[in-house]
Amino acid sequence: MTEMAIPLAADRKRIRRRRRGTALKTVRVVAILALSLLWLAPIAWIIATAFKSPVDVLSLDIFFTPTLENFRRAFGPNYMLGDRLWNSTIVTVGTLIVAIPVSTAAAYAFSRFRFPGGAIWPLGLLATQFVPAVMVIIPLFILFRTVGILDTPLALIGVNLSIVIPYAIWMIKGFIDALPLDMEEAAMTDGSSRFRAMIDVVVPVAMPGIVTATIFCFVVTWNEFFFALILTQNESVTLPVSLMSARTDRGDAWEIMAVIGLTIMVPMMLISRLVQRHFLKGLTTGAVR
Amino acid sequence: MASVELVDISKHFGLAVGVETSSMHVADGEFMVFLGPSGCGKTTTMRMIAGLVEPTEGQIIIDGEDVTDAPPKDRDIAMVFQNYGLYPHMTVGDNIGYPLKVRGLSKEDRRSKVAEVAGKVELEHLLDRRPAALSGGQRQRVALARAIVRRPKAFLMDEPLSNLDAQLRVTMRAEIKHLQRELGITTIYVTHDQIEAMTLADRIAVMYKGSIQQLGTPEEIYDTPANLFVAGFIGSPPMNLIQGAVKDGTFQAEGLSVPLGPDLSRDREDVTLGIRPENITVTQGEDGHATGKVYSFEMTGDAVLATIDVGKARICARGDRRLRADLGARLSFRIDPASCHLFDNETGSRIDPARS
Repeated sequence: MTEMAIPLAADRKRIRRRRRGTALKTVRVVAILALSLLWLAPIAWIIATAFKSPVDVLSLDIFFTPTLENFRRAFGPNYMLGDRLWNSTIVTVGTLIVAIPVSTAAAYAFSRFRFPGGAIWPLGLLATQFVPAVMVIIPLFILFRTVGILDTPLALIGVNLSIVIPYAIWMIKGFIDALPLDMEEAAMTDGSSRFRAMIDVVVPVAMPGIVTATIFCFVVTWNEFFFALILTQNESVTLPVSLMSARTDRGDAWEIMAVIGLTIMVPMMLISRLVQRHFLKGLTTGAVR
Repeated sequence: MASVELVDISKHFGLAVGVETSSMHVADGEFMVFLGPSGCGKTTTMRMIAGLVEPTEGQIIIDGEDVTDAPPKDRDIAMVFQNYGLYPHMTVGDNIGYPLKVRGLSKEDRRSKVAEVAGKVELEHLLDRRPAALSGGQRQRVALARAIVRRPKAFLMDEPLSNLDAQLRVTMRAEIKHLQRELGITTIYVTHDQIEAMTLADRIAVMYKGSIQQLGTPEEIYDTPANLFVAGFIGSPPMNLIQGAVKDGTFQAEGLSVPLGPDLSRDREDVTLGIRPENITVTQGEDGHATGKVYSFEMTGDAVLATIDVGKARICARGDRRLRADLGARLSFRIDPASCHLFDNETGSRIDPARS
């Protein structure tokens, strides 16, 4: 009898443990679904609204006849979405073209060279971001007006550079810090200058970090609203600011806002997806033992 | 090929001394090994030669040209790193061909030279792989091939075998020696492994605490260690060092009395006797210079190492492989007077028989 009781007790324990495991798994799946819904529902709502006629917008109908009329109106003369998209593209690409090489070079310097004052410099660079935007906006407005670049992409590129470069430097520096020195020293003894060793060896190997920083800079610049709102009036208005144009005297044009929102979101999603593989693995495997 | 000369070179890191002022001449085609424990300054010295570390003082002359202030790329040296330093984003072929690419060689020239060198180190079949797909030994071969693909003035090798397993290390050691002889290129090799140093070197610079303790051929360093550090560092197992005094032509320590040769027989207080395990003969009975208790007994295959406690000293003797003794048993041994070394305890220096 006793011999039988021991395996039975063990079985019961095992069944109980398995049941508890299944319950935990269910709770986990439900929690993930609930959170996903919380994040995805507004996006789905924006996408649906962009294709709804103004009459359908305020109804909660799930089924409707999709239309491209909202896109035609948004890109038309009233909202000039095409121009805004172009402005945003110019400002973002301009910012990235300058920010990424500059940040990579600065990150390399901060990572590899010793400066009098040590870590004060990179920290000081980051500290510039602690100044509230409202404090610098008026001096910047006056400065840009004086030099005649108010309401131009150049002004926005300048401002965005000051925002993204410090963060990009820190992100890329983190990656370069983790790279073994041996690789670039090998390149230098192989006959490269330090600059060439950086271009040939450090940059390709730090590419996941550089791509991460690029995506970050892209998202920040593409979404930047406050400075663009104050420093542009008509010519250089960017996508986030153009959302305001959907608030008309006759009320809010939600379907136009949804189109603009979609235009803002889609490039970010596409770019993030395209470069996602760079996040997955570093390239240093095999460099050292 | 070229000679390498260090003239009064030193390196300080703030108040800490990395390398004390020292000079050295490595002859054209010579295989020089810097040997010493961790932190002795051997790698720093090599990195100064490579141009990766700037010396605080002194001059570095390669092939008669002062390169002290020249960047690494202008020194025409090739370096093999402890951790290989391969380029992980390039294939093996591209890794080996990189020094040629930097020098502007055409793709065809590069390909033929890479193929030739890859053949030398048996990597022909791996040229399209990335370093991540190679074993440790193969990676080290790639690093070696990258160094020899062009004919530099000098090879610098920074503990290139320390990450390999014991068996592979022996094979690679032979390959390095063979390659160096075949190419005849001046080589400076850093290691903390004395077997590597003894087997590879034409000359060894034994370093400790940033300064060169002794510079000489492996035989000189083994047979006439300049000081207590070298005596204790070279040899496996190391030389026995026993503190005592010389009186009436005999070295005397607790439980030990060894007659010395006439050249070391002057009376001295406070000296250390150095004797290598292979110069001690275990005797039958108790008719040796000393008798002690067996502390440990190790069979190494070709010999037996008996560690014997005599007074305060623990003495290691290499005996015949058939020798057997129980732990704690009493064992007597004789010391070959002609193989004894004497060191001054105060200075640590060797007491030279010729000047004694």
